[in-house]
Amino acid sequence: MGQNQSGFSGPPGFNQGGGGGGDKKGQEKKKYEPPTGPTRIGHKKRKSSGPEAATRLPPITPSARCRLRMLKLERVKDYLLIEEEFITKQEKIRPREEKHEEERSKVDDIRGTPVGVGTLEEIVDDNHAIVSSAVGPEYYVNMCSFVDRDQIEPGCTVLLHNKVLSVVGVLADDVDPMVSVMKVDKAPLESYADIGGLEKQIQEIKEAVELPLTHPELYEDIGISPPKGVILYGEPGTGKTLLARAVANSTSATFLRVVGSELIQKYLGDGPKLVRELFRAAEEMAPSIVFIDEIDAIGTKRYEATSGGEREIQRTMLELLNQLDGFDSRGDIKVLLATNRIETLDPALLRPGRIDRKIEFPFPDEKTKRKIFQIHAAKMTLADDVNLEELVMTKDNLSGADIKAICTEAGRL
Amino acid sequence: MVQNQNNTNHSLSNSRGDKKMENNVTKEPNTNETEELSEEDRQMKEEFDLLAERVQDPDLAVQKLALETLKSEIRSSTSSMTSLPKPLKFMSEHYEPLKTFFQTMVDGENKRALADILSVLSMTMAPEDSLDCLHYKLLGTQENPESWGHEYVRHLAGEISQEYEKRILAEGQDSGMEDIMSMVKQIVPFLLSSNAEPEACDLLYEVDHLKSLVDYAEEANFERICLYLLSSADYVPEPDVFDILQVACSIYRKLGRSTQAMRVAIRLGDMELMSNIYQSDPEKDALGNVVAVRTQLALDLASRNIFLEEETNEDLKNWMGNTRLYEFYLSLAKDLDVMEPKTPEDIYKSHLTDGIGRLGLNSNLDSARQNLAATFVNAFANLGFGKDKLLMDEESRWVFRNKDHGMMSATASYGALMLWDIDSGLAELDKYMYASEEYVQAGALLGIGIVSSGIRSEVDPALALLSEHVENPRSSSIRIGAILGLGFAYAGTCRMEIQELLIPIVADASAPLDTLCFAALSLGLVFQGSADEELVSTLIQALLDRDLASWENESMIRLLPLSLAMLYTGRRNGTDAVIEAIQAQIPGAPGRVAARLVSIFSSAGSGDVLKVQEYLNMCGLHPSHLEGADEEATTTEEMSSGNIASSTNHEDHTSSSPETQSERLPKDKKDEKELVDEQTAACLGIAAIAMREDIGTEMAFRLYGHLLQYGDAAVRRIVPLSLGLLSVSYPRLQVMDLLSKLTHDNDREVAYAAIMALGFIGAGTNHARIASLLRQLSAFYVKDSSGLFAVRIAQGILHMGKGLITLSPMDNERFSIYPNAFCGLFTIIYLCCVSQHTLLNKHHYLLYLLLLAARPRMLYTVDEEMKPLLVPVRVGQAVDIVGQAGRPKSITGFQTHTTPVLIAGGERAELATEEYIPVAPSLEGLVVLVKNPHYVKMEDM
Repeated sequence: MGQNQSGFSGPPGFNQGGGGGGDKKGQEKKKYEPPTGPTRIGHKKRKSSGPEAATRLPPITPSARCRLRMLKLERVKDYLLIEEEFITKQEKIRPREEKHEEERSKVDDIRGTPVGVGTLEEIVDDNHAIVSSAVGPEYYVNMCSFVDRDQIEPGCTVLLHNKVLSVVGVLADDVDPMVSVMKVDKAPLESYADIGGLEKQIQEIKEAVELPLTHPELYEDIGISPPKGVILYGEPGTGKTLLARAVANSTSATFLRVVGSELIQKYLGDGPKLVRELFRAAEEMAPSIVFIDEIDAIGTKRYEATSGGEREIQRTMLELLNQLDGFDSRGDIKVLLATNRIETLDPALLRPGRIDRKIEFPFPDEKTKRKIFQIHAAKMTLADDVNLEELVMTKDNLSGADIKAICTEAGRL
Repeated sequence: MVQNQNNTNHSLSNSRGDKKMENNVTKEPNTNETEELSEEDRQMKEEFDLLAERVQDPDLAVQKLALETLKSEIRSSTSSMTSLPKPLKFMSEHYEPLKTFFQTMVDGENKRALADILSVLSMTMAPEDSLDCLHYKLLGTQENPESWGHEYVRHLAGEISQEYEKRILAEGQDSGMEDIMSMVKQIVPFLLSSNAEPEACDLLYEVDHLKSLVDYAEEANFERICLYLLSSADYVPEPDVFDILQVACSIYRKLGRSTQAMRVAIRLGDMELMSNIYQSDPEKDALGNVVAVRTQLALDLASRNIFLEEETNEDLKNWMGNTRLYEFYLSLAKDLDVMEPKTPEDIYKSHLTDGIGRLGLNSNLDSARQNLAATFVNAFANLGFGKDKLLMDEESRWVFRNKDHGMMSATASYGALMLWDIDSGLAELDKYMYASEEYVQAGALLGIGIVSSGIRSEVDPALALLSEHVENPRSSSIRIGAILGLGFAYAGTCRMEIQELLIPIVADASAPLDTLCFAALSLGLVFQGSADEELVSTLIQALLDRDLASWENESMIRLLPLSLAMLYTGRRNGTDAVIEAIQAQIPGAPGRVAARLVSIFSSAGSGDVLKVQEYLNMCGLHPSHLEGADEEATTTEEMSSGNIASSTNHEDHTSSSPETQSERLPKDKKDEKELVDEQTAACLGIAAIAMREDIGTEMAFRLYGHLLQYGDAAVRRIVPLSLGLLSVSYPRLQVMDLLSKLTHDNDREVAYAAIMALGFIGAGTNHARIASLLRQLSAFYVKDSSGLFAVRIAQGILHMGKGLITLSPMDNERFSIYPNAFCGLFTIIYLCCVSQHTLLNKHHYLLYLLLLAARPRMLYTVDEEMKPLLVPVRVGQAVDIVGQAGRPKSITGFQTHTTPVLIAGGERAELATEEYIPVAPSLEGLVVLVKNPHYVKMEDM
């Protein structure tokens, strides 16, 4: 009978056509019970970015700016207006709210109070599952019909009735707390204005990271796909992280930042999992920018690893490779990597398609040095005999951080 | 440059993005002010300061030199995607002073040069709606704007269309536009040469000069231009559609693409244009192969059942008359190895359902119905194959194992088995022509009609055989058989003989109702789209002759308004007046239903949003709540039709709808019933109007979702079938899911409708998922004979022609509608809605109307002598490539096959070899190939 396994899903409580193997018996007993179709259970419906497929709007094809696109969008708008008008009118005639309210209270009655919390261990068939709670043994219980089957997967947290322990609801599982910490909620103070020089780098990063998120049609106009990721490299203290902070400051996209070493975890498999979670979170909050600082912590070249720890780190990198350009396409996610030692990185990580742009941060030249001095010295009162030019002209390779240190040290004297 | 993007009126990017970009822009100047400029920049800035100063120098020579340096500086500066070119940045502070200086300047060369520069500067500096860019350009030198770069030209184009609109509004006429037009004439060639065809088209459209596009079209760009035009045609307001199509047609003709021009002409429905193209164009065709082109044109016309009388060539006449279609169909079947006839049991596959299913079959619950279902399934599954295992089995005498009307359907199914093959069909049916049973004879007559549907032959056997039985006094069923047979055989031909034969029946007030209705139906089919005045008045009179009582009791009478509507199939122009007239002439419900049906048929596939709105409102009425809803409905309607911009006929729309609604004010039980009739039409109408383009279908699907939630029981019953109409032979997953849910609805009628609809969406596809759904349903409805019958019919439709057939009333590109197919389908679906029981009980033979829509869903390639030519083709999911850069792939996820191949809904084919060039505009049906003269074999290179 298994020909219908690919399954289709619908709201619970809806009778569906199609009978899986399990329905056969039930049907013989009471003939006119409509067979319930096999909903896809066992694995949660992948949350696609954007609204549900059923309420989705048709895609509008020419992405270039032209009249046809406008006309099509207008057509969709017209239809939506019609829909809106229809629904408001119908709601006036027959309010649904009350009915919903009633149903909700009924569901609450069935749920009862207090509601227990347990973990779903296994799904036996459409209506039965094995659950366990924190204490005590596992139970074979009913799943109530109003539980959304699409949300259920083994290992998720479920609500259990206090007496019969049947499943009465699902708790939405949150993003890994490790990942939610990475989200930058408060924009950093540094803006592009606080960067001395680096004009070329700023422009490159804008083109590669911001523009594809705000104006994707510019790329499609020309018929190319926008760059996916950028790596920033250069000597220590040349402003890589600073620039990333400026990007975070200026963008309205979700900005997630990680340090490479954070991805190395104590337990086997935790690192790759964290990478997965990170990108899943990024996808849910798309458009987003993922910034991984000090990528050399996990991205070093692969070699015959002797210890389990090293192997684990390499696996974490492999997961990262997959997330950057793997089987599933990533939507609006841009990746920023930063490192001091680009030469140690694995070539697979740097191939075009994963990282399309490599932006070098050189030591500042004289002009830039002067600018950096000015930025740092702007808030200080300088003695008359201070000659910044002298410092600027020195032969040493001063990085941005060095200059800042000079200023700070001078202030401390 | 960043600012330009915000300024251009084409900017469609989301507002969030815009805001962000503005942020960046405002930030940048700040940076520059607070910080010192770099060495080079400072130098440059000084240079520009100096230049700006010199421009204002009283000495003309100095002025001129400065202007020229400035010009070359600005031109040579390269810009990037994110930042403003430096010269523009530095000139920004001089913009205002230069503007004031410009006012004081004396006329002359310098003034014009400065105007040019100011025009470029205004692109970034001027406030959004000032149109300064254009104004200065007009004052400046008339040199080509393209030297200032692409971005400038785009900006200018945007301002031109704004200015044009402004002037039209101010003056209300088309005069005084010379200055703008000369500008347009400079811009358009530039846009065309830089691969920006959409922009060129947009500009010309906006200044109402689309016609001049014909002059600009060349070998290199016409394809992209026409593709863009044709796909915009779906979305522009009504009168412009024809202009656009005509322009596209002229472009095709100018460049000798006669088959493509013909395709557009067919869409336009312009017979004169068609015959013009057919007569004169093949000689001028770019392919240079007159025979091939002409053959292809004949084939294209044939697929739409259009026959041009003036053709004299015997061969071409044959192609145009479809007389040898069945040969290709059979050869396709042979190639795919599906010649073996299928029994109904092969279709039911009851061994796959569990024990009950088989039990049900043997239980002889209602064997007459079982047999009838088997007849239909057999006829549909072996459609046109010429042999089967049921009827042709001499032992079983299947025909006589049915009762009454069942016999009629069984005999008529010979016609379906022999579809398109007149000679053998007539030979087979001849046996039954003189049978003693009247039903058998009637079936044979109907069968003759079915066999010759869509075929035109010199001998015209159908007319000769059928006409004598039209007035048969012996039996009404024979008359019905003959009348319907004529309708089938001559659908869409407008043969005057038919009119002479059938009009007396319709005009005869004493004729039995069903005979009359079938005569009207046949007339409707034959004269579809003709708007024949005599017919219209006869049909209206016939409707008036019948009293309201019969309207309520007899569902068949609904064929009368339907036939009336068929006369207006695809006639967009002037139907508003007709609708008004019909409403005025026929009182009460029949009049309103007729008016609505006419409006549906006339705008089928147009995607007219206003009509959809009107119909949806209709469906949303609840008889029990009517009082309250009425006033609201009118007010909100007026309000929202104001919102919808593309309204050309919305004035008469708003004025007519309150009228119809106020008419309905006195309400009682009877009104409720009437409303149902109208709602049925309206609900189907949404599908009929929206089905031709993608956005429409998807949005209509959403609308039906709402109707299921809010609609009354009566409306809910129609929704499944409307969904069926929306995607005939195109089983999309979401529609299938919804329908499969509805097959278990509490309301039996909804469930039956959903079952039939499942058949329609999978018609001729052999879709495995639908097949398994239907099998499960057959087990479920074992005890319910109506349900089982519906399931069986749906199974038959699903496996129609063993999966080689499509019922879709549109070509695969959804470019135009086949009127014949549409009429047949709509009639069946409409009848399913209004009188499911009649269709499932007595008048089941009307199900053969589906065959009007049947055509092989094949791609068969032939050479110019119509010999099969086997070439590799790629078949894959169609992709919309309109207005995309470069040469994007038109199909995705393709597989390579050798012709002949099957093409499913939403798929597209392309040749996988360079050796041949297809003559046909789209690879579908019979396609003539010619050798590519530039083809070089790989080995030779």
